[in-house]
Amino acid sequence: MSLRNIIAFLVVALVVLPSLGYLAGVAHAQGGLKITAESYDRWLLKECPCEGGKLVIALPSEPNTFNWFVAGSTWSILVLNPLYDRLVRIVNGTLTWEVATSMEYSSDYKVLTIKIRDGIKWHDGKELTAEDVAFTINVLAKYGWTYYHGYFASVDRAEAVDKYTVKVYFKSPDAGFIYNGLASMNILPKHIWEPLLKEKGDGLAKYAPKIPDELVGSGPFKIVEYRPGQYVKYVANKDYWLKKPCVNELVIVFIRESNVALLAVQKGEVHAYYGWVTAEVVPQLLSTPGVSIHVYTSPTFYHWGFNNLKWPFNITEFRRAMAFAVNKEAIVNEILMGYGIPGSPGVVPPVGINAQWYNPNVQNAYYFDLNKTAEILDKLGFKDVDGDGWREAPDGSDFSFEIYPPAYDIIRVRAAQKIAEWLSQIPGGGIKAVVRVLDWKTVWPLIRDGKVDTYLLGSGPGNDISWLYRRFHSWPGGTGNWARFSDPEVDKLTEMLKTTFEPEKRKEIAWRIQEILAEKVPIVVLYYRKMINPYRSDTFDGWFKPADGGIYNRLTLLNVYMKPEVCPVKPKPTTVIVEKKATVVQTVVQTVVKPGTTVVQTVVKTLTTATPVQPAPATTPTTPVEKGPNYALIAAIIVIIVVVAAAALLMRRK
Amino acid sequence: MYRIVTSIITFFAVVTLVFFLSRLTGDPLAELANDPRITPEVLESIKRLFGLDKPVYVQYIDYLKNLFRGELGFSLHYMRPVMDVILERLPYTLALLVPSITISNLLAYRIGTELAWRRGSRLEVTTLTLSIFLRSVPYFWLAIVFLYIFSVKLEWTPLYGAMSPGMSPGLNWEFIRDYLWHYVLPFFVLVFRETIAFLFYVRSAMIDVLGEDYIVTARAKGLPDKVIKRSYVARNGILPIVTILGMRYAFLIDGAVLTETVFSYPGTGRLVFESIYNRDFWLLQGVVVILAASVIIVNFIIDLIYAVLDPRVKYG
Repeated sequence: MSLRNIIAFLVVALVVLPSLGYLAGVAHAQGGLKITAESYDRWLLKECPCEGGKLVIALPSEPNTFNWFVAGSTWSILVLNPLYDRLVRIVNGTLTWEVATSMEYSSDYKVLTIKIRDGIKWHDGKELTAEDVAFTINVLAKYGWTYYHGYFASVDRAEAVDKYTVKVYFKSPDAGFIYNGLASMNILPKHIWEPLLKEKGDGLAKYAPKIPDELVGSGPFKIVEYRPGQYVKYVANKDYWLKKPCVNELVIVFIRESNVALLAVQKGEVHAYYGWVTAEVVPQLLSTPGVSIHVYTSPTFYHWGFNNLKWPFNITEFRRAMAFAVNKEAIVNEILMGYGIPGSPGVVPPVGINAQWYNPNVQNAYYFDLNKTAEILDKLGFKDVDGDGWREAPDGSDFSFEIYPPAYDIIRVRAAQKIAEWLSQIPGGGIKAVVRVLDWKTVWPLIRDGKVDTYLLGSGPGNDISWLYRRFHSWPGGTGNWARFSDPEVDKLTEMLKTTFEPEKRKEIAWRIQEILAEKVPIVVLYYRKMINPYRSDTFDGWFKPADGGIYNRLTLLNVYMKPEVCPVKPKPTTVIVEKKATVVQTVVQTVVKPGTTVVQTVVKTLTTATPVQPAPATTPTTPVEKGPNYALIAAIIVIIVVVAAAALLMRRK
Repeated sequence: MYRIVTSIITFFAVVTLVFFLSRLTGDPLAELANDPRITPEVLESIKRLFGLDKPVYVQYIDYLKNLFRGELGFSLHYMRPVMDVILERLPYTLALLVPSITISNLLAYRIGTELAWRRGSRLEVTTLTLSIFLRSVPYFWLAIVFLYIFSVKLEWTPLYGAMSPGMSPGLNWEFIRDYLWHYVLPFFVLVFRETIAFLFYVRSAMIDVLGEDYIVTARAKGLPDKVIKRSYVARNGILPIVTILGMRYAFLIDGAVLTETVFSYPGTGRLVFESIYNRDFWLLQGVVVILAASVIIVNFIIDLIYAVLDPRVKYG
């Protein structure tokens, strides 16, 4: 072994070994493979500086359904998030145990044994057991209409071995199962959903569960009310097994106009907005006292996609020439105003859970150099033969192609125009690119059916690196590979990703795929966007701000608390005060009693346990109309009286 | 009778047109295709479940059959029967639109007559200039300005929604107060806009009447201005206005869409927009069926009113 080899080996070892420890990877055990994951402990607040209060979050759109099995839109998933628990969850880019405590694969990777925590209760008091977990997995594996079925298609069946152990049997080994499937699977209560499934069969896909009776979860919040188009209201599950949420109530309101949502945050009516915020409004937001922003990088890769089957995009060299004509830094700095990071030629985003597979070596495979583009185009025979300033095709005919950005995303429209501009500036004659801005739903079928030359698309990567299979494998009839890329080596490697379990090996494969993608350029990744979430930092604290996700997340829900200066409850109870408070609570119980509200139950509970609990509920159910309504009311009445009087006068006839 | 038959034919023509047009515009499941979770087999089974795999003409026949049974189908986006989705929002839209149309029309009628009467006066010129200015301002922007003034600066009204979260609807003072508090601004903005838009029709209709011979006769008879204005001008000018009213009713939908969007008000106007955006054909058809039916009924009623107002018009 030569010295060079030894050094190379050492370098590889140095890179691979530390990453093993830091990543939520998999460690070998005798026999099978034991999964390792982080615990929630390091993120959770030990105790709440303030208990009580109401947190209001705004979303730009409402959920389409509360039936999680068919929850298609992001908003449905977000709205159901506080309600349900998962076996494992990806928190800040790492796999984290939630309901599960351990997982182990058999040596042939065809059986996964999952141990779950005991003592978790559904909101209706029944215990969450292995039966519930097995039921949920089985439904997802069996029914093609469930939206997560694709992640569970490799599952043969799941069985509850005992009360706290589940065994999942696979038809074929599936290395992405835990990250893709289990980390996004809400555990649903069998005692609610099994009778529904028996009664309706496939019709369950069209079923809207009754709110709140059939929306029983085990998560930190319970849904109490939903008003279509307006809001969802939750109360804290004070018995939540992981940690009692600090706030008493959560309200998610739907504000369609982002300008209005921002005004609402600035005014303090809404405490955080989880929607699209453009970089232009940031200075204005930050100049508002009490408003802060959380900036995170979304792993969605926005790319300039080529139809790899269409001439001349079927020529690798041509695609490479295009890659040299894109100034990604300029797009990030000028169009995104710095709120983004330049795309990697290897496609895999360097953020979130995908960061562990990201190959930094390919990052600089391309740089903005129009001379290089000109050189390659000259070599390919794309030359300006008639001297009109535009390059012609090798056969001398006029040449141009189209770029399709979606009309709703102004960033992509501008990026497409920029690209067309750069292409026109290629020395020795430009390439004519026509930007066609159309409604996305009109363009989309064209992209899907391979009818357009090039397009600007944002695609989400999966949680597990095996998503590269979906995006770049040449499988027949495949969806996801919109560029229609086909490469035998990538085919082989992406297949291997689905069946290889050893983390070092997977990383090696992923790195190799990224090298090939950088070399063959099926698509040019332009940028990964940085998203902006405004939130109130004057009234609430304890926000959890992950680098790869929004401010509305599970840990925020558990940790967020009202700042002591605005806290509706004053802690430091003494024995004397406790008694007094108890009487206060007592009176509250009498005055507040509204049939069926959970708040009242909480009050009664605090009384029976006789803990020195603050009369938090006393302040919580204050009238929602806090200020202003009197003026408004007077104004409203005056307006109506005037209007009615005018109408009456008008109608009077002699 | 003839009127009823044409109404029914119009109704079915609209329904058919919407059915086929909406299917030309795109794929309702398009957004699912790029979702990392959805595999082709999932997409297929969803299509099967919603009958999207059948040929279009079969879907059409099924649809008509259901329509006769009074069923509007199943919303693909909301995963619920279309009827349920519409019914939970319709009351909000009706409560917003019916009073605001009525009041804005009465106001416009009154002001428009007055303006026509005082044609050329300084009052008329100022009012008209102002109205033209306000009418040219995009309504969307106008609504946001109102919101900014009344909700952010003056803090009189809330920023969004039709009621405060946690209010249980009922006949109690607290709820009514809260509801009105949320109601007043969108209501006012709608009235404001509709009045201005309608004003011009009324004014020009009245001006036409003013030139008629019988007005000259009335003046010559020495009748007081007030009587001429009320009984001669306003009464005779009402005919073209009523006709336009029927048409404006249909156009109000756009007002409803924008109002509901800006004020985050739950209603069917917004639903139309969203169903088009989501390519939720069934929901769109459902809303259109209801809208078409109501517009046709309104026009039918207006025709009847017409006959009352103008004895020359008769429908058999």
